[in-house]
Amino acid sequence: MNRVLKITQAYSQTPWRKQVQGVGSFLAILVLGLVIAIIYVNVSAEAATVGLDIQELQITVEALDRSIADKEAKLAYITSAVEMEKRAEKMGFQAITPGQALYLVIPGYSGRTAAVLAPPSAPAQVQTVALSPDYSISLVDWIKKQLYLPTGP
Amino acid sequence: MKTDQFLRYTALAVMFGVMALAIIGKLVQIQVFPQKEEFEKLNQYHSYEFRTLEPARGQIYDRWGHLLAGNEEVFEIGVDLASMRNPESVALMASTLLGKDYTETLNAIDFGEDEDAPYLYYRLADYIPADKKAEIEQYIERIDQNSEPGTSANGKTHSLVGVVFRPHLARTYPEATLGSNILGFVSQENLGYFGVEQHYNNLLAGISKSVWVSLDPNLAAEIPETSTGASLVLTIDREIQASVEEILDKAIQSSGAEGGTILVMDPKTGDMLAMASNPRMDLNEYWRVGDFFKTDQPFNLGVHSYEPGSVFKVITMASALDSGAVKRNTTFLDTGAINVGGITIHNWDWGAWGQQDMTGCLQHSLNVCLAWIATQMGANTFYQYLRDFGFGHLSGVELAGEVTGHLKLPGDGDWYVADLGTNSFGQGISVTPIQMLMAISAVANNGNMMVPHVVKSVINQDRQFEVAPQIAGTPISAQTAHTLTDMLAISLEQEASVALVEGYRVAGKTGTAEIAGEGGYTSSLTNASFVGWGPVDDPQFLVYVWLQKPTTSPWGSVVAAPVFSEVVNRLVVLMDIPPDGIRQAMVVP
Repeated sequence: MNRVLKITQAYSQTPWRKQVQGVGSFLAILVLGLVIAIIYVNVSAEAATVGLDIQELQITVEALDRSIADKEAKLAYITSAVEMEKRAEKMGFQAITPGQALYLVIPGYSGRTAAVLAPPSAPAQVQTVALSPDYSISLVDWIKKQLYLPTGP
Repeated sequence: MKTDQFLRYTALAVMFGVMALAIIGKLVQIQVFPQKEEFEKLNQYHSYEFRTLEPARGQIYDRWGHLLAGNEEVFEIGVDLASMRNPESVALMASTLLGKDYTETLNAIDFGEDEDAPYLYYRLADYIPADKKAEIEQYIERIDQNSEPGTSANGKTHSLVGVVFRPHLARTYPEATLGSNILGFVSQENLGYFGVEQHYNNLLAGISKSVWVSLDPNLAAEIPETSTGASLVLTIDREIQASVEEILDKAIQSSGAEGGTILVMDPKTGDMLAMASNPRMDLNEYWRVGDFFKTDQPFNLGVHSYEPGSVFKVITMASALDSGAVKRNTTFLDTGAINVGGITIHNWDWGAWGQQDMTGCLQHSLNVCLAWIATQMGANTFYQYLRDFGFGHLSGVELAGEVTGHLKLPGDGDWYVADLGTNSFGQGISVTPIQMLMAISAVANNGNMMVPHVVKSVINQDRQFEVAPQIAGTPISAQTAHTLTDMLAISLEQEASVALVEGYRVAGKTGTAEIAGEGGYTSSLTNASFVGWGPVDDPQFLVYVWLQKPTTSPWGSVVAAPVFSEVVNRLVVLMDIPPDGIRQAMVVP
């Protein structure tokens, strides 16, 4: 029994060390908690900022759509049939009669084509990978890849 | 550690512990609180906004891409009652600049200092154009910068804080009256009326969505997207439409007609190049529709029915030639009268024209001859052809308000044998100009009858879909079509008709129809018509003219035929059709 007590006393720490250990552990947990909280707050703030940006961009997109439609209508007003006729008359043009028209054969010209108003189809998007595949494969796959790499002569 | 220090730290720890417990307790209480649902509703009310997402209405273009119906930015003006400072200033502004009743507005927005407003926002006016908005904004700026304290009638300082503008799109028609009878219009409720706007209302309007939109920026991605309504490219040519409308208006004025319509079609495709109708209206003032159209007045005469008169003889002759009942050189001795089903039919001049071949019957527009031809065909054959030509059915043109007309058939309660005689020259049958155009497209297009259409393509989801020309049927053979076209061209040439166009060979037929009233055909008023197409060796246009009740002359040959000629003179220039001689010489072998 004395022997056990002696061993315990030999390996037990002094009270002040125990206190330091306690305080240290508490501080370590506190710092860890703070770090997690800071990261969380930071990510949340960034997400909220991006969210606000998205909302603002959506409003901008809506405003631009309205503006485009409005400008298209305004352009149509100033190029309407009546306005264009007025402008042509002002510039000295006159409507021709069938007898005044001169007709020419233009090889390859097949006449006026009807309006194509749909936006042209987008070019095929080239897939670009910003991140090296080495960072997105598992460790096992990476090792396998390294093992089976072709060797030089 | 000293005892008093230990006590202090312990007290602090207990205090923080109690505070933490209190917070945890409150959190738990909120979760199990009896009014939890009410709080949740309040939370949703303040963190979400109920929004109706109205997609922009699709635009309408002519065949070359000129905008006929678009959208412009307008503004709703309202007042945010929570931030409003002086209701009297707002009511004064609404009265001065928006023409609103001062007292009515004040009563709607002023709830005193103590009383809570039953709503958050009050709409003062809508569809305010941009220039008017700028004027109001200047006024607001002036008031907010220059107002002296306490100068308002209620003792407060004049202020227009709380007045807000909400932008949105509204329909606009840059060409105003041009093609108004084809387009129709859209009400403030985004509902299409008449024409293409009504026929394609659902397609143009798109699908609106009413959703709760989160104001939480973390949920910004949840705002749903709405696709805009589909846009339409019409077959209408703006320049041809403008020319034809101008000609129609002049013709109505010079003939003293009540109204009229001119239709221009490409007989090979069924494309409607122009469809003028009178009266017309500025679509930007659609609320004045009642000023232009009386209760029973059709919005578009082109799809309205009437008794066509002698232009219908083209159909009768086509049927007779195709069925073999007569041939081109078949002769008929016109004695000036024929009895069909108990009634005696006379010619338009009550005269007897003697021996005539079939071209002569058409050239002199002999009712007696055409009635005889119908009897030679027999009722079953004649009416089968009329059905094949599409009469009694909608033509399928994409315009609201099209009517079927009235085709009486053997076996119907209101059909008599006499109808066989009268129907042969376009009396006792009601058809629409668009039906006539469709039927006669078979004669102008090698026997193939084209479905008339006004939509060339549809633009939806950034893709343009072409509307393919449709053959409605082949009621007559190509041989019959060529023979009849030649007969009608000769009849115009021999008659030295005013419908002829120098340099271009055209085929056509006049029509003068008496108008039936309650006591029969007693009125001296008529419907004057003309149908024609050309150039006869390669028809590129088919024109139908109808003038309602002309007063200077009742005859189609006098008032409608020259209108056709004038239209063709413009068409050949606008459609780049050289005179026949030049065109035939230009053809590359």
